Amino acid sequence: MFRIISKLSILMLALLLVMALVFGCGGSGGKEPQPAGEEQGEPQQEPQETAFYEGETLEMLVPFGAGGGTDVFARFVAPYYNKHAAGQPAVQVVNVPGGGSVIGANEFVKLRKHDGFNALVTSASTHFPYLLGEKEVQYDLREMKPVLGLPTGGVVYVSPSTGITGPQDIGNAREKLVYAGISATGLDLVTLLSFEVLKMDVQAILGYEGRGPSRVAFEQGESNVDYQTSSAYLTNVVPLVGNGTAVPLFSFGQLDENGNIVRDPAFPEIPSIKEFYEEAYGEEPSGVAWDAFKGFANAAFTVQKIVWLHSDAPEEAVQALAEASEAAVADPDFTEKGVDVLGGYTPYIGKNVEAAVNNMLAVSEEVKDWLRNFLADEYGVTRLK
Amino acid sequence: MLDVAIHALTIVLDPSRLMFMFLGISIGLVVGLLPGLGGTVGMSILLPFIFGMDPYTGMALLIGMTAVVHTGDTFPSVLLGVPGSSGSQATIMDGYPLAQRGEAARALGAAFFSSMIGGVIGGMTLFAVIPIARPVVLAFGSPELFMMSILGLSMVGILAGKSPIRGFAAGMLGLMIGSIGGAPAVAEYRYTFDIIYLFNGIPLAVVALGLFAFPEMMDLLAAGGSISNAQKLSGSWMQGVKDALNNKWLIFRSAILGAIVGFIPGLGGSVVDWISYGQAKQTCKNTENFGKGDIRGVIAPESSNNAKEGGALIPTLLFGIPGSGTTAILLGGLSLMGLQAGPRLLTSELPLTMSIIWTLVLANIFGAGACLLLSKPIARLSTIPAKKLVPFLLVLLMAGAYQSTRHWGDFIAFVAIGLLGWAMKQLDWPRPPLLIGFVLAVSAERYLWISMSRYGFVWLGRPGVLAIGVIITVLLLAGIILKKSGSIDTTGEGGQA
Repeated sequence: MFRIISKLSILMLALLLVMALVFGCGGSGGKEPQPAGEEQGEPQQEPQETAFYEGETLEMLVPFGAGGGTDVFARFVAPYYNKHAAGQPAVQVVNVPGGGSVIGANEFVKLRKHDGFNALVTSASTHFPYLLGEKEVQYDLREMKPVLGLPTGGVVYVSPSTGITGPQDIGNAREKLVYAGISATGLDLVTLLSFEVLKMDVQAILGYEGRGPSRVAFEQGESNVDYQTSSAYLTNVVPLVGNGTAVPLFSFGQLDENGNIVRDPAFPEIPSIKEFYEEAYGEEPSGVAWDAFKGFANAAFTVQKIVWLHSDAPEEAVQALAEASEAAVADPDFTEKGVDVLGGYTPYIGKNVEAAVNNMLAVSEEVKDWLRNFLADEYGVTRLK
Repeated sequence: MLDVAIHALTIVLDPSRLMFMFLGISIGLVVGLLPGLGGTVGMSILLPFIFGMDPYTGMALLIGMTAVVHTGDTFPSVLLGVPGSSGSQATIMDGYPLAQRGEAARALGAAFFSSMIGGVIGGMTLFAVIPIARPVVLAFGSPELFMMSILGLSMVGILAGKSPIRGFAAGMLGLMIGSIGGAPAVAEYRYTFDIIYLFNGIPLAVVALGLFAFPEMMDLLAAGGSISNAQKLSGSWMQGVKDALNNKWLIFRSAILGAIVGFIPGLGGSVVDWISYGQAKQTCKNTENFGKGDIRGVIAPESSNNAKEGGALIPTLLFGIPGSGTTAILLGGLSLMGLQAGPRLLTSELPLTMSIIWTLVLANIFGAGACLLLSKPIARLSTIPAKKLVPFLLVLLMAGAYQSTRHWGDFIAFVAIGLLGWAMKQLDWPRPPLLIGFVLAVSAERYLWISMSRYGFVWLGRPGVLAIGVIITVLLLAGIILKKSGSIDTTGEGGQA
């Protein structure tokens, strides 16, 4: 009897060991891609049109933890790449979180092969450190080819207790304006720049854990001015507007291909920041703060999430993935199922995503210098200088 | 609301969904069983499969998994002295000594039964609180959240054991280790020495495993023998269940405490079991044996850490604010199924929310039942000689630590913290305060910073702040008062053990 039970225990231990190995290896670097040489290095074979991704695995590296916005976007897109990319590759999403997404992006450039079987999915948090010149950044966005870009928008709203109902009131609020944010070098930078452009005197309390807590702070009265990205605004703030506890002021707008801010199509009744400024001050916004706003709004909202390949990946890979992106976006199933993930926006593909990325990377050195001083003086961020 | 609940029950009991719930339960139990892995690992494993599932099935899978992680994590805590997940460290304090006496099955029986009741109470709390949740969550502003962190930190004093000064120092050390990485409010990095691994701080699993598991392994190897010092395994799980039933009131209040602490976003689920252990120690009679194998030291934390899952779902589902890593991924899963957390889950999607509650309740019951049946065979692990067991365990532990970020830093940090833990064990410095300080460092600083920036010193006068302050004082003093009245009795009765 004891023999049997001890054998059982050994069996269970063995099972546990196997499971541990499976769990330990399962999420970690993903499978090795099968040797690509099979298709490309066989001179005897007739020049058949075998697709680049035939029988291969495409790995999408997400430099964030599972469940976050970028991860959800990547996991949503993955099956459509599998469906529409020539060769029907298996698509695997791999999470490499850490360092605010800098670690994963660094790993993509330094450790992943530039063979077209590895793609990177970035978010604004990856673009900002690069644009700001943070010293841990080892990736160069100019050395990457974008194939798909997802825009989103943002809306700034205030509490009715501030007494602000429109552009004419921003100079004389009834109470001190307090903004609850996360970090001056994160997405909040765009909001802080929008206050700077509009010459609004706002005390920014940074350090909240996320956009959710900062929205709760607004509802509690800890802050009286806040912004939310489009999907969060539509789900959580529109009801507040409905019962009179929130007043929308302006949206960040969207950048067109010439780099001008236009009204955000997701919020047709809310003025863009440009229109808001024009109504308040009677002229168009200009100056280095405005340029900074546009540049970073581009990197944060116009193309918030981007799927890239290495620029020295094989041309066929870039081609195949770009075509797959176009097919995915055109797929009615994609739009229908993606209502929440895409937030109602149409992703950029082809020439448009390249143009948006070029605009994003075109932020001038003068603007960056001004920005570094701005961050140092106003928010104590001195490490960038 | 009741008719929606009944309707949701019929959906949950649909055979194909039940199958997914059982799959989730099995994965949750295995994840809990393997040391160092927690709910986040289970969620990450399941997330890719969620895409395209209908919400009821997807939730059955995910919630089935989350509900039982804290039931299964009792196995390594009791049998090996190694935390099964971050929510199960306090169980080691009394569970492991019980296993060393050969009473592992009794400890496990009590633990599983308490886990089950705690989990059910957590689910019922979720159900009861939903209509009033909104104003309650909104009542906890940054000052109140800071006071809750202080409540957690005050456990350091209660758990310091014999030497309050060492406990205090350990807590301070924990706070310091917790501040490694980025500051919560300002974009500054501390103690990172330009090592990019440290930018996010040291992961919790690495600290928990290093601090508690590593020293145990070393000592086991050095001592030889096996974990269980008794020749035979005595006690059975039935006895454990009877013990639990004798302490109904303890189970109930620990569960309520667990649900409340789970509900506070930002406090971190890994402190729940310590707070519960601390409250048990302060409020039970005759607590001299706490830390040496008192079954109540197992019942209290096990009940709370299952209940906290129900509590943590309240801010997650209602506000989209995750209370822990597990719920953060759960939100991602909701998106993949085409849902958004928010007021809609209480109005148009109420059946789904109800099904979540039912899954929580049912999964806890099934999970506890499965664990009870498995407890006797798995308890035999404690009779295996250490020389055979420890190498295998070390591999598991290293794999568990490595799961955190999958960088070399995980191994190095694990060994470094492990050596620190071993030194503390040898020198008789209490380790729980260090872990508490570590876990609460970021939250405490964040909420203090925000409170001071926003309100100056005025926040000290807020009613919520004062109320929590009173609770902290009462808890700290309760121990002293109870001990005083207890010591009058025991000297009269001639020193009853």
